Amino acid sequence: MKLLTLALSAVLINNIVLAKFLGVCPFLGVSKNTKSALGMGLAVVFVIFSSSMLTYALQYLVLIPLHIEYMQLISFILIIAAFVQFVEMFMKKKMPGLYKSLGVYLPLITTNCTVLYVAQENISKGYNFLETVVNSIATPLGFLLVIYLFSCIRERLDYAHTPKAFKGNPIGLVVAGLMALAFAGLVGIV
Amino acid sequence: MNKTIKLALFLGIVAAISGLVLGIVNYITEPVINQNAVKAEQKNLELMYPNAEFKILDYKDDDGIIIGAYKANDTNYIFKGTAVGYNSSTPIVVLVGLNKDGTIENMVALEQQETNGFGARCFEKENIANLYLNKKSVDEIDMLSGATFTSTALKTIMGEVFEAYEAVK
Amino acid sequence: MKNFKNGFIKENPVFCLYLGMCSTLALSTNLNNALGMGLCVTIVLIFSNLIISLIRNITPDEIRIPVYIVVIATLVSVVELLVHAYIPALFDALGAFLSLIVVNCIILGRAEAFAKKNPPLASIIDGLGMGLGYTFAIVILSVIREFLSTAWVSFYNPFDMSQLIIRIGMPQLENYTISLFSSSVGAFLTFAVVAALFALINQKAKEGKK
Repeated sequence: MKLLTLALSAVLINNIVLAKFLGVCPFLGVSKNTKSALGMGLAVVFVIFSSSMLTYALQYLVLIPLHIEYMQLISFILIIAAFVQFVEMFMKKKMPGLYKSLGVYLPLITTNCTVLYVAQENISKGYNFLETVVNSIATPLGFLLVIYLFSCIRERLDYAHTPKAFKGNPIGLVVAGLMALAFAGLVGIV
Repeated sequence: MNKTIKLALFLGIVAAISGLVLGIVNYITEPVINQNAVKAEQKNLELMYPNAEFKILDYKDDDGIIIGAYKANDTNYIFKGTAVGYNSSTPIVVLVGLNKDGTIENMVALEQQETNGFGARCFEKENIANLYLNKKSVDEIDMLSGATFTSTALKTIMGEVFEAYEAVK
Repeated sequence: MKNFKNGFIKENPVFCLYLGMCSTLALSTNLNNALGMGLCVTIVLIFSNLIISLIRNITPDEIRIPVYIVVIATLVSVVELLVHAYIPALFDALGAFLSLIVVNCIILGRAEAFAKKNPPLASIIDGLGMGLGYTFAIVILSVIREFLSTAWVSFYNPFDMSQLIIRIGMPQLENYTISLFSSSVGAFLTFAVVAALFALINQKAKEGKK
C-alpha cells in the first residue's frame, strides 16, 4: 500500500516536470513530435532506473563504509555519465535497431537533471531497496507521461495562430503551465 | 595503448586533486555543520536537559525511525524518533533521553496530533511516567488500553532508541 | 566588455538560450532564494571557467568532458558544503537544487563554448557575465512572482531569516493577491511571458539594425 502511494505520488502528484521543475530542458527540446517524445521518455525510464540502482549500490557499499559521503555528488555524476556512454556504445554495436529509436537521445540524458535528482532523492529520503526500485521506475514514468501528452498538444499547436513573440518555446511554457494546473487537481487522490 | 594509459592517468590525477580538495573542505565544514544541527535542535534539547552542552552523534538508522542522536554533557543520550500513530497525516515526533546505562529518563513529544482522550493520553505526564520512564528494554514497555495505535508507534520508537543506544554507547 | 553585456539581454542564458531553466523555475518563488541561487551559480561559473581555462592546454581533447564534469562537480560540492556550514537557512531553502547546479547546462555549456579556447581573464569575465545574466533572470521572475502572490517583495538577512532587511510592496493590493503565482503554474506562465518579452526586444533590435 505504501509502495503504491509512493508510485502514484511520483507519477501524478509530485510529477518531476510539472511540480518539481526538473528535466524541463528535454521536456521543451524533444517534444516537437510524438515519436521523439516517446523515444526520449523511454530512454529516460531506462537510464534513471539502471543508474539509480548503480548509485544506490555505490552509496551503501562504498561511500558509507568508507565515510566519504561528501564525494557523493562527484561519484554519482561520473557513474551516470560513464554508464550512459557505455550503454550508447553497447547499443550502437549490438542493437542498431534500438539505437536508432532510443540511442540518439542517450547523450542528451547525461545533462538531464532528473537522473541525478532521483539518484540523490533515493538516498536523502532514506528509501529502502524496494522503495528505491519503485521510486526510480515511477518518477521517470511521470516524465514519460507528461512529455508524451505535451508533444501531442504541441503538434496541434503548430497550426494555431500565436503572437510572433510567443512562437516556439514561450507558448510551449504556457501549455506546460496549464498542464501543471490540471495535474494540481489530482492532489487529492493519495 | 600507451595513449589510453596516459588519458586514464590524467583523469585519475584530476579526480585525486578534487578528492583532496573536497576532503579538506569537508574537514573544515563538518564541525560547523554539526554545530548548526545542534543549534537548530537546541531549544528542544533544552527541554530535556536544561543548560547542558550538546553534541551530535554519528548514528544512521536504516528504518528512518531515529532521525537524530545527541549526547548531553558527555553522559546522557538523546534520540529523536518518529513513527506514524493513529493520525497518518502527522507522524509522531518525540525526543527520548537516556542516562548513562540506557534507562529512559525523559520523554517529550515535539509533534503529535493523536486523538484527544485516546491516543493523546499516551503523552500525559503520569502516563509517560508509568509507561516509559525508568524502563531499560523494550520488553518492559506496556501498551495503553484504548490507545493501541499510538502506543504501538511509541513502542516501535523506543525499540529503535534502545538499539541506537547500544550502537553508540 | 562585449561578452559581459551579451549575457544580460541578447544572449541571456535563461530567456534566450533556454539553459538552466529547471532551477530558474523552481527557485524563483521569492527574492531570497533567487539571489542565493544566482550567487551560487555565478561563483561556480566563474571558478569553473577559470580552472578549465587554466588547464585548457594540458587537457587531452578525448577526455575533456569527464574532466570538466569532475571540475564542476568538485566546485559545486565545495559550494554546497560551505553554504551548508555558514548559511544553513539558504541551504534548507535551495535543497536539492544546490547540488543540481552540476547538471545546469549553463556551466558545462560555457566551459565547452568559451573557457576551453580563451585565456583565464576573459573566461572569468565571461563567467561573471553569464552568471549575472542568470541571476538577473531568476531575480526578475522572483520579483514578479513574489509581488503577484503576496503584494510584497521582501529581502531577509540570509544569515538570520528572522531579520528583515528591506520590504517594498503595495499593502492596498493585499486582498487581491493571486496565490497561483507562487505555485508551479505561476512559474511556467511568468517564465513564458518574460521569455516572450525578451524575444520581442531581440526582434525589434534586429529589425532596427536592418
